Amino acid sequence: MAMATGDAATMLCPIGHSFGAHYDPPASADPFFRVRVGPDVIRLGREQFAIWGLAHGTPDRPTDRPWGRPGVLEAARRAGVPGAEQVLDSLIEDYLVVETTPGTPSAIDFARRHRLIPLMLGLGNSAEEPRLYSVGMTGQPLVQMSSMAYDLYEWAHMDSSLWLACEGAAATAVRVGIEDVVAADPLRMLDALLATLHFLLSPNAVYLDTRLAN
Amino acid sequence: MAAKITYTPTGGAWRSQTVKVNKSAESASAAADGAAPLVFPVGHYMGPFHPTRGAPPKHHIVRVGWDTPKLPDQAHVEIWALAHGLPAQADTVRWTRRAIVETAQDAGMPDAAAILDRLAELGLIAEVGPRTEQTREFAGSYRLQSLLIGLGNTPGDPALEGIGVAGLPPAVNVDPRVFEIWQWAHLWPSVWAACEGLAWVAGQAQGARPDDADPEKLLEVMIGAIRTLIARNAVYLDVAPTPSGESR
Repeated sequence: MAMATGDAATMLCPIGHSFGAHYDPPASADPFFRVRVGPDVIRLGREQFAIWGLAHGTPDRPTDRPWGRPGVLEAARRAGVPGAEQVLDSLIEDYLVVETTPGTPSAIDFARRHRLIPLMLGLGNSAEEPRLYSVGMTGQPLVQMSSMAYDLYEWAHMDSSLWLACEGAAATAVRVGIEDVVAADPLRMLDALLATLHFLLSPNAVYLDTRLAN
Repeated sequence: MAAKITYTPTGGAWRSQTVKVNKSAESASAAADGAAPLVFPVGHYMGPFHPTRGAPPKHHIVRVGWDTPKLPDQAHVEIWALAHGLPAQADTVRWTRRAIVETAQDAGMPDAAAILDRLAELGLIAEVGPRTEQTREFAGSYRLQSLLIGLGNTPGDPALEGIGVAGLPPAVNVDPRVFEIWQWAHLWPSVWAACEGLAWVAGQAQGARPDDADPEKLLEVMIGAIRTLIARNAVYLDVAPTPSGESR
């Protein structure tokens, strides 16, 4: 696996579905933390889980650049997580955090290796702002997005990889005559999704899992 | 004695309303309704669609497999939401057509029976008869998909696992069997395949009893677990994928 670059254009993405802390008294007073990736549940220590959590993004993160190594490490410093750099490297090594750079072949590779899976309900659009769609839980909209991102939220997990989902969505857009160059091009669609992905990851509206075999 | 419960899973604004349930009537209904099919909602809710600024919702969308059946109006949204069950009764009341219709009437919704018929036509509810072959048919036709994240257990009550939204109280706390179903069942293409897979795993465990490895026994647990979880939107039911592998 490639080592972390820290490049400003490189984003960090957490992989896996969180199962939370597990206490096992009286055997231990300290919990471990569980994340499922594909068919495996990975046990994380407190610092590992903290950094994995920060890789989802923070509410106060700058939104004009990818959420990458500098942002995660700065957030870890403010949160007082010890050894953050080494912990982040170990998470990358263990495939619980993945680096990718939008607009490059690594983004397609990332999309071919992963699935985007929704964890909340779609709450639709509104009469006030029909171009924006919300997801959340009943009575609790948590994040808003474009119709294109909402389309991927609804459908992407049905395909065995995020890349196949982008290709399918783009083909559909062409077929039904949508005049939007981004929506008709899987690579541009993927880049647009990656630019907003942490808005979806930080409230756990989605998670990323490994691709399916077929 | 009247039990006050809050009925929230409604579409669109998903507004809250309070439904008063007369417990003695509820018990009588349940006893008389013991062999009636259980009703489960099908699909992933995708909300209202407003075609233009200021327009009322044209319909509400539910994704079911590669299709998007539409809930045509708020009454259909309310009854489909009610088919999920009421969290306060999810583990105690058999959620049948009769239970839904009576609860809807108590809430001032008189047309529930006709709407349930329409929802069945649209594939937006599944009805599960009590006989083994009926339950097996349901389990082979649908799959479970999990929503929300695990919020963990606590040192004070390690046997209960929370499921919900980070930073908020758990939507539900569940025992290890229900948690296991929420964690894993979605990895199989049908509820029945999940029962077979999870029963096989359970049978491999040290000290396993013969029943642990029996998928039929697990299916009984699964039916109860689905209600517990679906009443809190911690899972939804989707159609099982077809062998031909449709795509959009």
